[in-house]
Amino acid sequence: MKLTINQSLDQEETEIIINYSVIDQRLQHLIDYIRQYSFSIQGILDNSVFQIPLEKIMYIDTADKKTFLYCTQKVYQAKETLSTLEKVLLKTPFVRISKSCIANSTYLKCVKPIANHHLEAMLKNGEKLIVSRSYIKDLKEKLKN
Amino acid sequence: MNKIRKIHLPAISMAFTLAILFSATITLLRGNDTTGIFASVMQMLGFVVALQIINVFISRIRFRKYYQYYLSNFFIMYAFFISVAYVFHWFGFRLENIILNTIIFIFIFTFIQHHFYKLLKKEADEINALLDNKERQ
Repeated sequence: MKLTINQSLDQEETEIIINYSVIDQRLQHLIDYIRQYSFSIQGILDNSVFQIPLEKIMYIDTADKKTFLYCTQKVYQAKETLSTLEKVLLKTPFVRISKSCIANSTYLKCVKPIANHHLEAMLKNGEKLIVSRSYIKDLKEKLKN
Repeated sequence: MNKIRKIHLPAISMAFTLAILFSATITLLRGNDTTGIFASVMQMLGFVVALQIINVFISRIRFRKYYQYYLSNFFIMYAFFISVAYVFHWFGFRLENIILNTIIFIFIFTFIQHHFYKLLKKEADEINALLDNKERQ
């Protein structure tokens, strides 16, 4: 694989072009990973709308029928429902870990078993999330891919 | 060991339980249960199912630590067990019988809890290995 990086002040927008003859699994994963960085979700904070890059979101949670985007510094409210976001984020590192939470697997540090047949996932910033039994398989599949 | 825990143990348990239940049902339907033992088997079935229902409700509580869940689960189920045993006269309520049946209850309860904990721990270890692998990449 050849990597060419060109810097030009004339370039208005960063553009990534991948030339290939046959697409394999490794290349597909790379494309999905890059896609994450070009994708953002609208978040609302103090009546202002922001475009939140995906890589800044640690996890998405619902409470009182509202969806919240938890970033490293701030929490934004999303317009979409959790189910909608789950479909949109299918090809990204985001994975559903419970009925009310979608986690960004790149922020996961480790997991451990806890009561009620659940797992407790610790994020890199020390926060803890609950992984329900029924979503453990999905989490494993996402990490394998 | 993993195969024993995931396949053989559940298979033996299910086969044994179903065999006993079929036997009990047929004997009771034929009116052949002169000792009353098969009626006790059906009572035990009802009891075990009720324990699982109790477990479903306890599982909805968010315990901070595993031992809190374990102890709460144990004491609630034990209280239910003693009550049912008393109502259905499963054993004579003398001290030695209570101690013996309590030991049996503790053994079965701990065995089952440990079994499911081990299964969950294995899942956690697999996920942690995948996370470590990703981190190294």
